[in-house]
Amino acid sequence: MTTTEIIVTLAGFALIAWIVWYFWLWKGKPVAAQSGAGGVLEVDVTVKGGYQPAIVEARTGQRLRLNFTRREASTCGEEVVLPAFGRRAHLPQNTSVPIEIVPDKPGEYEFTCGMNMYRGKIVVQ
Amino acid sequence: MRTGAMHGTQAIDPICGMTVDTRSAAGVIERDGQMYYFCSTGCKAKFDAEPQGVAEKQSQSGCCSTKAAEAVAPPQTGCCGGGAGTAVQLNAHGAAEQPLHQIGGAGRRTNPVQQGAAHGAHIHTTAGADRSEQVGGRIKEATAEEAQEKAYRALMRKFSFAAVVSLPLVLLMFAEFIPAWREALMPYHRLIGVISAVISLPVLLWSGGQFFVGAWNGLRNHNTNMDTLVALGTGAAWVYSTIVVIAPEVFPAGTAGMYFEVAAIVIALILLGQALEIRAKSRSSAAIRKLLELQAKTARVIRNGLEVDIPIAEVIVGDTVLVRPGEKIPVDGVIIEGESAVDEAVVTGESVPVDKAAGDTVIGASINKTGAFTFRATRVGKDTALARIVEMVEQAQNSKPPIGRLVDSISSYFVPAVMIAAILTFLAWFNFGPQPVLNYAVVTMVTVLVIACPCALGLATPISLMVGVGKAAEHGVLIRNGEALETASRLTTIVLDKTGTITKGKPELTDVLPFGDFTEETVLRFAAIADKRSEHPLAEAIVNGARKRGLEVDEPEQFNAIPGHGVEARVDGRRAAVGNRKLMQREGVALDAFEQAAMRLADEGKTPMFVAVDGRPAGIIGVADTIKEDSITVVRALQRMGIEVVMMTGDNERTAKAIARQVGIDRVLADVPPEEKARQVEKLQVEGRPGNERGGRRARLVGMVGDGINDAPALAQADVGFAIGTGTDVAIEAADVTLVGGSLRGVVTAIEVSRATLRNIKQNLFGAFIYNTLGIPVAAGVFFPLFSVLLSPIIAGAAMAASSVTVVTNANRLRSFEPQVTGKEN
Repeated sequence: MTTTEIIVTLAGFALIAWIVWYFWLWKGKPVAAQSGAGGVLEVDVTVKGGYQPAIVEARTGQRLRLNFTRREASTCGEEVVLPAFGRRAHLPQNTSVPIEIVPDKPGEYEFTCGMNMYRGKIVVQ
Repeated sequence: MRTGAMHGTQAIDPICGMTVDTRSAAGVIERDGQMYYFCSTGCKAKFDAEPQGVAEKQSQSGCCSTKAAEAVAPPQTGCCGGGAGTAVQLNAHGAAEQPLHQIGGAGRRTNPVQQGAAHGAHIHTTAGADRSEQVGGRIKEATAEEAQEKAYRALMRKFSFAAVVSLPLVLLMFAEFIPAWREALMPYHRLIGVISAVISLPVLLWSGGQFFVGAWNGLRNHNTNMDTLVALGTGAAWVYSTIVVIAPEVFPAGTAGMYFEVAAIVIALILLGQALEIRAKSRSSAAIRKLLELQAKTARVIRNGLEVDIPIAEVIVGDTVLVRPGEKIPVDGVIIEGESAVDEAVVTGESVPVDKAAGDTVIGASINKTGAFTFRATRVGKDTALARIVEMVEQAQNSKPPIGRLVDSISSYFVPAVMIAAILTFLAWFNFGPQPVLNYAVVTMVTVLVIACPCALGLATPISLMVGVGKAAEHGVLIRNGEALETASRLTTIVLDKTGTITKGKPELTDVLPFGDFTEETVLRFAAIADKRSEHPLAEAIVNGARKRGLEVDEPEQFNAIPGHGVEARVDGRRAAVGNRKLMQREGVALDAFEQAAMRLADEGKTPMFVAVDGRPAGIIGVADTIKEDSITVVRALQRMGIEVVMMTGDNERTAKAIARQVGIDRVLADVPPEEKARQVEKLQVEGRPGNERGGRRARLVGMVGDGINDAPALAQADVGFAIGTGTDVAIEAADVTLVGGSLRGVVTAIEVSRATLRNIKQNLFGAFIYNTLGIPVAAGVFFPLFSVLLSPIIAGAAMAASSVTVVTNANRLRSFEPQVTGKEN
């Protein structure tokens, strides 16, 4: 192997290690939903290359409102689906679209885009 | 139109009444399926705090307080005067219709109906919630449709630009393959490179800008998606080619290849694929839209003694509604006067019109065929059968069948895995490939990036589920969720309740066999009088049979119903007992005299009812339930599908077996009291069948078909509970599948559509898995050592664009599903 080949190969493996760490091992910080008007727990979720925040904390039996706002032209995130609650919403660009749910059991409930590429979860305690 | 009203992209803020552009609204609230748009966060917060109150205040405060109310109030009756009204009615498609007061000239009364309509619309602004919710549903549809159409047009514009610009680049690429042209252009190689770089740049930045922005946004969020792959692939090709143009000397001899056309054409093809996918997806969700379009737009109600036409959203519970022949019934209700045949196919899937008379229920959106009638509205807005069907179908479409869970876990790892595969491909070619290694390494890496298609995987399950569940609804079969659909497709056993499911559930008197000195008439008279106060269907059959034979059925002097046995009563001062064998044993009546006759009746499928007077056998009465027209066809169809059919009944074994023989059922569970049904289903579930054991899992998957009320525990116990509804009871809680049409054929349709949908999902998943698992190694060049051929990145890009379109198109094939067993066969 030439020096160039060794350098390129090491750079390649370093890039792979970075991909594994950055996309698979990195864990986002959960955000607790805040009490809003009428005692509804509320959290604003920005849709831009993913969900921000991607982990939302909620409480059993308490109404939770997720205000989704798509801040990108890409159509990847134009739909949001909450399969456990049978809910789907179309997200027009730059418009806040709230989805209200009442999680009746503790656990983790996913929300994803229509094609399952963007992923977030609601952690219900 | 008030709260939530919308005209094109305009909506009315329910708090301040301002017209709001839905695309730039400061806030939107969806509440119970209704969308509200707000001009400011303040309005949104106010609404949020007291939505109900706001709705009421609006309606009570009259039309001047908000522009939203103005919209409802026509000028001639409202307090705002003419001219200012911005009334907008939405049609079924969410498009704006001409306001009532503008028909025939603004502010001019044209005829009493219009006048009344205006009046009705005004005085009933408090009909509030139901109306706006229904309208809200349409707005949601319209918004999604408009957005889809807009996205399609934008993609096609970008595609057209990319395609036109790519054309000279493609010609230059072909020139490379023609020796004479290649030599002629050789001196201008670098100039051509500069021109290609400049031409392809706007394709990347404008047409393909969304991929780069999407990829960047994803990267910042530790997320990857299809944009990441497209951006990396085309970006790498363009950057590499540009470096070749600027500094060809940094590359080893022969490695300075240019791939501008690859970047531009791949972007053009993927844009085209996305546009086609949007079109195909809008067809997939057509079922829901079709259901909504079935609604009538207006209703003719009688208010203050006048017939007035009003939008159906204005109809309130208790309204008297008039329907003429050929018209659609606007909401659910009960007929007050008149009779007609009503085509309920829109809701029940049953093609034969149903005769209706006073006291019968009618379903909104069904078509009145022959006579005119009036009915009292009982369910409006989101409570109508149609609205509940739409809601149920939407929920099912958005659920996930277990088969999709594997895909979920795969797709979260997919894109980074492809990126890693691309790097490994680059390294393999760079270290072990033939010369020029850098060219091969770059081309194969780009090809791997652009061939992988995570969207095909992600779309495979939900798109088929959407079409399948919608298709089932068209045939009057409501499937609760993806899990029920998947289980229904794998059922091995179906349990049919006898009474009301296989039979009509309306038994009739067939035989009267007297003993000793009793005559037919005296036996029947004793039995009918004794049974008169009983509510049991068999007792009713005896009473009705006696009346039909001209007997007068008096009241019994004493009456006592013994559940599970029969009745005891005092008739003409004598003690009469009418019931089953257990009652006779309890009464100490010798059964010997009964035996032969009872067996004969049972063998004929009739239920023998024993009659004893003063403790002596008086006679036997035979009562039989008629088998439904389609029972035999359905049982045969289920058996052809490889499903074992079991009949369950509380009736005696002999009668049950006789009925079972008539319909072709081999296995009968007889003498099962109502409270035992669930346990019998459980016993069937754990019952092993040789060759069908699956590693500790239940050997049988049992579906139970019942009426949803009496059979609720058994339906809940079954792996799939099928409830036979009556049209208006659309969402039966205990049921996984509701057969709205009330016909047993729905069971076959539900299983057929479930199997077809699951087959479709499997085809999609198989196609997407195979495509990616074969496509990526081929793109990486595994065939190069054998055949010295490499996949062109352009073909890889085309394949990627085609794969998503193929998945959606395959799912759309389900739209042509037709049930095998239809009403026409009978």
